[in-house]
Formats: sequence, C-alpha cells, structure tokens
Amino acid sequence: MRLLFDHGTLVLAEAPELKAERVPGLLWDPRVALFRAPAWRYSEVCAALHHCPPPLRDEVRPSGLPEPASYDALQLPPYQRAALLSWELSGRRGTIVLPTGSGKTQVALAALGSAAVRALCLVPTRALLEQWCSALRAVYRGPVGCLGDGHRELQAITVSTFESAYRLMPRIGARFELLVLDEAHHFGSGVRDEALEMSIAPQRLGLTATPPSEPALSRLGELIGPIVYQLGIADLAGRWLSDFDLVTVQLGLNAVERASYDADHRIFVAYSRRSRRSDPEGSWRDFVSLAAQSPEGRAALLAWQRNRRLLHFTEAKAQAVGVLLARHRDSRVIIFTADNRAAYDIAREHLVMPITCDIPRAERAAALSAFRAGTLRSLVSARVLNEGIDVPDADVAIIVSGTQGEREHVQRVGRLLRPVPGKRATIYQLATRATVEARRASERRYALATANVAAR
Amino acid sequence: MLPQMLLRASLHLEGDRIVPHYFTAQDEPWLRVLIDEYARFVGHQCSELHERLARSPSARAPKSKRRIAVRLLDALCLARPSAAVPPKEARAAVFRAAACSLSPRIDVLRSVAASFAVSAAELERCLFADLRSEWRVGDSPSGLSPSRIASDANLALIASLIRRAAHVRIAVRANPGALVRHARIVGLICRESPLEQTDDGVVLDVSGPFALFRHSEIYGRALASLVPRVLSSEQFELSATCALERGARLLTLVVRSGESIGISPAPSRLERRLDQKFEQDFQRAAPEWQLVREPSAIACRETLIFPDFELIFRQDPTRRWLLEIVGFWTREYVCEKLRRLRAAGIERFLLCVDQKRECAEAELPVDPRIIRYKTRIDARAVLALLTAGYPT
Repeated sequence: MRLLFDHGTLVLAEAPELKAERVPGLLWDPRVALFRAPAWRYSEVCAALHHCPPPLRDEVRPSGLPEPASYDALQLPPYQRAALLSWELSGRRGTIVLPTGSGKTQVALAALGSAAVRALCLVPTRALLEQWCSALRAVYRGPVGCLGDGHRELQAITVSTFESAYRLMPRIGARFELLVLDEAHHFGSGVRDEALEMSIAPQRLGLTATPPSEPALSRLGELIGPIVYQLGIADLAGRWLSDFDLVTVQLGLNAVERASYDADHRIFVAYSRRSRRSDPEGSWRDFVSLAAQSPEGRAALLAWQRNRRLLHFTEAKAQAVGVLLARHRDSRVIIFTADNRAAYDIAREHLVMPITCDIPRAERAAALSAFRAGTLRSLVSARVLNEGIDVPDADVAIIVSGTQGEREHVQRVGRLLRPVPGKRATIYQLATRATVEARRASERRYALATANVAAR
Repeated sequence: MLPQMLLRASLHLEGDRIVPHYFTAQDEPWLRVLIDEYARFVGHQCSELHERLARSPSARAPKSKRRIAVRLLDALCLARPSAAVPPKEARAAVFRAAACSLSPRIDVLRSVAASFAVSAAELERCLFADLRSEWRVGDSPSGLSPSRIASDANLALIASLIRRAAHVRIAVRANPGALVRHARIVGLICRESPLEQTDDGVVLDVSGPFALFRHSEIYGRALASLVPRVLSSEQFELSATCALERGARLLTLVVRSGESIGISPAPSRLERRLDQKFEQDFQRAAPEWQLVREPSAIACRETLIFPDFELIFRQDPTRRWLLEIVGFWTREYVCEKLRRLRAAGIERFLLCVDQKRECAEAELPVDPRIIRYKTRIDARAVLALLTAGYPT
C-alpha cells in the first residue's frame, strides 16, 4: 500500500483488499477509484494502516525539505513555562488560553524550539505576519519563510496569513509537522477551517485570549486539540500585566439623530417581534435568512443597519473624542472605531494617524514604529489593531464603537495591558444612552469580568 | 463576487431550486439612464455620485439589480485621482506635526502645507487621495452599453452562486476539451462521460478532491473560473449544488443555453507553463512535425480521453500521435489508462508523467509510451519516440 498527498487529502493506492471502515476518515472516492482521507487525520490513518496488510509505504512528505535550524534559548516566566509544559504533556496538541499582552508569542517560540520540527505559523492579518516574522528572526537561526502580503517564500519555519494558508494548503499541506495558530478562535466555525483540515501536521498549538463557545470549541478540539492551559487577566494583572481603569462614558443623541434612531428602531422591533413569535428559538442567522425573503424583512434589516451605522459615530462621540484626546495629550492613545469611515473622520478632524487595511504595509509599520518612539502620540483604527499587534507603550484607549461583540472588546482592552513598569492604563468606552449600545456596554463590561478581569 | 445579502436578494427559491433574477432586455432602459448618470459625474468624487444615486432611485430599477449594476459600473469607471502631494508623504508629515504641536488644527495644516508649497485645503485633499472612497468617476470604457452591463451582471450572478458550490455538472456539445483542461489546470477532478443521444456531447462532473468529505467552498474560485468558458459555449447545461450560507441546506442551480442571460465572449485559453515550454521546445527540436493544441476528445470505452497535443508529421499526415500530460497519477491510474487505450485500438499515444510523484522506475508499467518529466518535458525524448517508429 502506498499513501500519497493529493491537494490537501491523503490517497491510498495499491490497497485492493483494504476494509475502509477500519481506517478513520477513509472513504472510497469513485471519481478516481481510490481510497481518500482528509489530510488532518494523517496520524490516525498511518496508525490504522500499520495494522493492515500489505506493508504501508508512506510517500506523503515530499523529499528534499530543509531541516529546521536551531533556536536561541528563551527565558520564560513561570506561567509561560507551565503553559508550554501542559502542551507538551498533551502530546503537543492543544490550545493555550492566555490574556492579551501576557506573551503568547513567546510561548509559541519556545514551543517551536522545543519541538524542533518544520513548522507553519498561521496569523490572521498582514500586520501580524510581519510581527511574527520579526519575532522569529530574533530567536531562530535559519531563514524564516513568509506567505502573504506579497511574499511567497517557503522555509522550514514559515509564517503565513490565514488567507494564504487557505489558498496554498492543498499544495503545502504535507510539508510541516507543526502548525501554530495565533488567535485560534477564528477557527472552528467553518470559515477557513480547510486550512487546518488540509494539513498533515500531527503537532498543533493554538493560541488565544478569547476561546470560542460551543460548537466551535469542540470543532477546534478536533482540529487543534483541547484547551490545555488557561489563565485570565486577573491571574496576571499587577505583576505580569498592567493594571487598568475602565470608564464607560454615557452620551446622548442630538435631535435629528434621535428621531432617525427611534423611527428605524420601531421598524426593526415591529418586524422582529412578529418574527420571534413565529420562530422563538431561531438564531440571528435564521432571523436574517427569513428577513431577506420578504420586503418587510429587508426593510427591517436595512433599518437595523442604518441604526448601527448611526451609533458607530454620533455627534456626541465625535466631540467626546476631541475632549479625551486633549485631556490625554501626553499619553499614547489608541482610538478604536467600528468602521474605517469613522476612523478616517477622526483622522481628518483630529489629525490622528489611521491604521486601517487601506494603509499600505510599510506605512503602517512606520506609523507603529513612530508610535513606539513617541513621534506619533495617537492612532485610530477600526480592526487592524484589535488583535495581536504589539503596542506596549499605549496607555489610553478610546473605544468609540465596535461591531464584533464581547470578544472584540476583550481583545481591544488587552492591547493596553502589555506590562511596562509604572503603567496604569485607562480605557474609555463610549456608549449612547437609551439605545442598544447602553446594554451592550454593560455586556462588554460583564464579559471582561467573566474573563477574570479586575476592572475598576 | 457578490456579497451574500445582495446575492440573496437577487434570487428566489422554488423548492430546492435557485431561480436567479437575471437581467433581461427589459432592464436596458434604466441601465442606459444609470450609464448616463456616470457620464454626467465624470471628474466628481465617487461618493457624490453614490449620494446622487441614493437620492434618485429609479422606480423601474429593482433595488438588487441596481446595486449589482452600480458595483459593475464602479469597477469599470472609477479611477484614483491625482494628488499634488503623494498621500503617504502628506500623512507622514501632517500626523507627525500634529503630534508634537499644541497649535490648532488649521495652523498645523498651514505649516505643513507651506513646506510642500501647496494650500492647506489642497493638502487636506491629498491626505487620503489614495483611498477608494476618494476615487473619482472617470470616462467609461469604449463599448459600454446596457446590454454589456446586463450580460456582465448575469455572469457575476452565476459565478457568485458557483463560488458557493462544491460540485458542478456541465453538459456541452462542442469543444469540451478546453473545459476539461481548464478544470485540470485549476486543480479540479473532472470525470467525463458521453452525453446520451448525441454524437459529440459530453457530460463533465467537476469537483475538488476534498469535496468527497463535506461541502466546502474552497474550490468555489476554481469552479467559478469555469463559468465564462461554459457560458461562451453554444449549447450547454450547467447544474451545481450550492449552499447560500455556511451550513445551510444544499440547493440546485441550473443554467441552460437559450435562457436570456446574454452572450459571454470566449475567455482566453488558460495556459499551463509546462505546456507552453513543451510547445516551444518541440517546435524548435522538430520543425518537420506539426503540433496541434487541444485536439478533439477520443472515445475510449465508456469514457473520453482529452489529449493535450496532437503531433502530425508534415510529410505524411497519416503519422499522427497524441500526447497527454498527466499531473497527479498512481500506478493504477497509468495502467488503467494504457489498458483503455489498448482496448480502443489507440497505439500512437504518449503519456508524460510527473516524476515528482517519486514512484520508483520499476513501479511504472514497462511501456515505451511513458515519458517521465520533472519540470520540463524533454522534447528530444518525445521526438526520439516518434521517429523510432513505435508502433509502425
């Protein structure tokens, strides 16, 4: 029997007598008249086939792959050492949950050094691609490959964006023995999961501050492994993370905004109540799906969208941003908005550098360096700074609005928690009174609290 | 690709069947008005045009169709404006100056503008001139007509649905070879069978390797790339199983020639570099042989074979060989192919197999018609086989 890698799957050739049900994941593919299994089940398939005659010839890995070079030794604080040990004891499969700013990348670098195998690190954004490559170059003695943002260089240790991995895994899925997934909570819900399913890597390490809820968590368990170590912000705040104050600023709507909001809210609520009566257990997705099929439903969805857009950046919020920027002139401030439009409005009005997906990579990197050096004192961003980006000097955040719920909020707060001696961060959350935003602000505060946060 | 909400609003369901709301000749009057509106706004910021369009919805233009048409016209007509100061330089100077100054906003802008020898207002215009929201309406391309927008919109609708498919079945009457080769080049598995009750029709079942395990959109882009080629065929029927949302039930889309979806121009041939190199090398090495790309399919028992090349000896056109380049293969695959060829009485056939699959020489059946290659097919080795006279 011969096992081959074919476009993100395993193909079993010369196995005329095989009973497929004995091999996990193996199916008969009538299109090519061969057995086929998804690549992520490589270890299980090999283990099962070794017990089946005739002898197996494993030809999955291409020849001529470079061996990884060595790593410099890293000094890890006790909680990071414990996280690494837990992962190793779990057979090098599993997810480590640590709060933002607590050094998840350091744990990953130590894991890479300890595993000493060919590895592919997956990151969600182009900005993080660059950050990971730099972090690896600082400790890894060989060349670091890079896939994404115009780069296409494959090495024994390679960093890739999720998007590039999704596109290229059918071709490169047999080249790596270890997958490292930064911000692993992006997986498990079906979007881009194929990037994990098309890799044979038996060793997998997921990193996140905000693990997903069920059923995505179970799926993540299958594809990466279970949560093997978990700490919250309160476990580390004070010594390993900065302390912080969370201030919710309640603002109003002007007369025109209020009239528009109330009118659209009535349209949405009227339809929503009718819809809930007919399907009380339906999810938001079910609701949208149903609404899209009728003119009234579509009108309700449009009204909901208009209100969301309105709340993203009201007149009062625009004024509040100006007041807070003036108050914190000597601080390093990050402003988070819900969309790029609001980010550019703030950039224009207050002459604050925007960090968005439209700004070219080199310019973004230069702006972040200038922020660290103090020649830029504030940045405004919709999503790019939400996750992973290292801005340890930031000590004030203004959260103007968000679209992604509690997880986004926890991630944003985490941007300010990277420890610097003597730092105490201040986070302003702007919310509009007598709208859905006021309730959401409470929910977000609660989400931080349940993430073991000692917010005051 | 059209976004999900727009796509959802551009179709309805009849049972499990998707019925797209195609653009027809009835849409051409309001499309003409829309094109004229773009022409009137040449030189203006695209946001001004979009505001104007939002204020003046045409009663005769269905909302979703109008949004699709605007997306297409934006792609064709919007252009980046020129800027007196490169936006990147303007941003670096303005935001850094603002960070280290206590002066009011306008004073910061004036001071930086002076260093670039432009006005403060001009500098402000340059700050984000490279962003798409700042783009201007440009001249529309020549040949832009309502019928072209209508057929482009129908193509976008069908391609967006196929992007959500995992499996496509295509029945065509003419030139199936181009479709088969296209599918193979983009990494799809293509099963071919003759179309019943026709002489030259073919049914192609196209899907990706991973589609065996679950419905996945990972092949959506590759499958959608087949759509222009299918629509440019004279007679076809395309059917696909699509999920409009992740995890939703699977629905069927059927598109047939004869439906009023407009005529799609035939796309240019998808080139594989390996084929190009072989063509060049062989023509240089063997000028006495004529090389024909994509010859007709050959019926081979219950299936069809699509050779990549036909090699014809110029002085004696009865000396013809067929050549197929095989990407992924196994021993069973090659043996089966040779068996079928033999059974169909086709002896003058060369199979070029990719040596990177790393099968030992002994594993391949001993057959002089098999040529191994790594990154380039050796044209001289092919010529040697042709001139060796096997079989005479």
